[in-house]
Amino acid sequence: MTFEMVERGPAVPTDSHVVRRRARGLVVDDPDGELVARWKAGDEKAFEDLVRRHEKRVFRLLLRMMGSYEEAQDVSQETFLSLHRHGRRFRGEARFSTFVYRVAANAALNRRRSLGRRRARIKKLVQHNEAGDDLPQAPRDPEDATAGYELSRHVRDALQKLSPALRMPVVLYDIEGLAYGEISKVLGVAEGTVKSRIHRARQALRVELQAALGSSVGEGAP
Amino acid sequence: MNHADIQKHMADYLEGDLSLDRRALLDAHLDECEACARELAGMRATIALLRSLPDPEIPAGLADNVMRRVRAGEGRWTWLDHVQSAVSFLISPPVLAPVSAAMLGAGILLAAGQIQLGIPDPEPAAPAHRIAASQPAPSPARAASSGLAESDVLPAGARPIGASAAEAPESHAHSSRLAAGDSRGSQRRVILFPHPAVMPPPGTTASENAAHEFAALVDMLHAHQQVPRPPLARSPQSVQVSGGAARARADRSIGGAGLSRGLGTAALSSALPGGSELPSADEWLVLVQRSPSAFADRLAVLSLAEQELWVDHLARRAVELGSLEELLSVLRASSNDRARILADDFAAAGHRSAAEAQAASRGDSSGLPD
Repeated sequence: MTFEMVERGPAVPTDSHVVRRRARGLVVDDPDGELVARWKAGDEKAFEDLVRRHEKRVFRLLLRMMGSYEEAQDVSQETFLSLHRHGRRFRGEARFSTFVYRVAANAALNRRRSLGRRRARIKKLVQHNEAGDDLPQAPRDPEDATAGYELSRHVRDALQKLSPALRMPVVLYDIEGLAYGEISKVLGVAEGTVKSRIHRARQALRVELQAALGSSVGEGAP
Repeated sequence: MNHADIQKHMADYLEGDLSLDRRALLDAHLDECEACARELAGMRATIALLRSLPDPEIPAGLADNVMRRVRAGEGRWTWLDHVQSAVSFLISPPVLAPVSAAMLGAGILLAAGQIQLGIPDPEPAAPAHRIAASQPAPSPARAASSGLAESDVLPAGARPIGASAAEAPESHAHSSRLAAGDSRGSQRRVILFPHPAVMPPPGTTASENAAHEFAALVDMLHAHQQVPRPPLARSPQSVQVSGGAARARADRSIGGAGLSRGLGTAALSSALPGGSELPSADEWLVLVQRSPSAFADRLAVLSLAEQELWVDHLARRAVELGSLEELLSVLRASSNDRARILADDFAAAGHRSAAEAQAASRGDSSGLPD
């Protein structure tokens, strides 16, 4: 019997923007890997680049979760400050973007934990709708200026009526476009749970939107 | 294929995750059933509306503001972060389990000494409220029977009940009797809460030791005083056990999840005269039915993962007892939003449990309803 040298195949081409890492048996291709490594080495400019790279998705998620432009702005800053404080805990077991979403989700849930505030907000929303006061007094959200503002407003209002436990997964899935597995990592729940919550959230939204928009939701299937 | 099947498979249908033959069955039903077709259309329209929300404009200078605050030192660890980190470490299961076991052992020795020597409580006027998050809880059933506020025995984590004797209602008395003292004026009040977040991980020897030790303490105290029987109808599936070790075994058999260990400690504390007891999950189910609103509110303070664990465990037990539908109707009838949402969680978990049981009976290891 002879032993032969087995050729291992071509080396994986290295990409400056993609760092292949092996962490606890998982290989993760992370487009942020290089910046994260530089930041961990003390390069604050790398952190700034990470903030600029992720600010849009963080703000978008938080706006959908908080429902208020100002509050989303505030929590976005807190998210990145928290990321700066605790980012060294990131060990590359998932994409850095997943970690960012997780920090943002925690910030949003912590901020919204006060049930009293939520109830007050819903009550205010209901009173607002019942009064027929549909016109925004001072549109701060750029969405307000769009032609589809009215429809968007109904969707945003309906989202705000969901509990955070249902709102977060449906926002991450239908608006942010994350996969079930990624949402599962962000929220720390099983994929099956994520799927079921998304479905329940959509059902609740359908009921809300049907009530607000009449039959157009039921019959306007794309 | 009927309406219920449509509801069951609608999420997969919308995502295109159904097998072709099942999809064909659904399509056939949708062709004939206008109600289901309308609902599906509504779901599709809802998804389309969600996905058509315009991207918001990012506030100007967000990154600049963040970096300015970072440079001002706000992005550094503060003393509060260090404290939080230290506390997190101290209450982590690997640290807490042996410590709680040691404290429990000391408590047993202390209680044994008091009973044998008949030492009265040294602080009758100002009873100590001792909280031990990972230690066994008083039986919710017994607490209920004694008039203890239901919310006080729900899984809200370690939390003192009242700060002083004046604040503590008289109704806490029965739950306190477990610890020591037989007269109202000399009760040592020990309110113990289970909190799934700080429970020792499965297989932790220290935790098992703690459970055994506590069961032994319960047995020992039973020999010296009469603990009130909870006024609950005992289910036919209730576990007939006697002795601490047997109780611990029975409790482990109730549920395999980490949660059962926490609920199990509550069961251990609910020893009844006659050597039998209700499984702890049953007691929790009674509490959920009695006050779904309070349960839902308390559950809401836990993390999502912990909530899943609780719901999954209790739903499984409800399926075993055949009381899931009753539970769902109570939750759905609640005026509390969270309780109504919880009903869906219970329904999903119950369905999963039933499907797994069905698959297991067929010898199908996957346990998934395709």
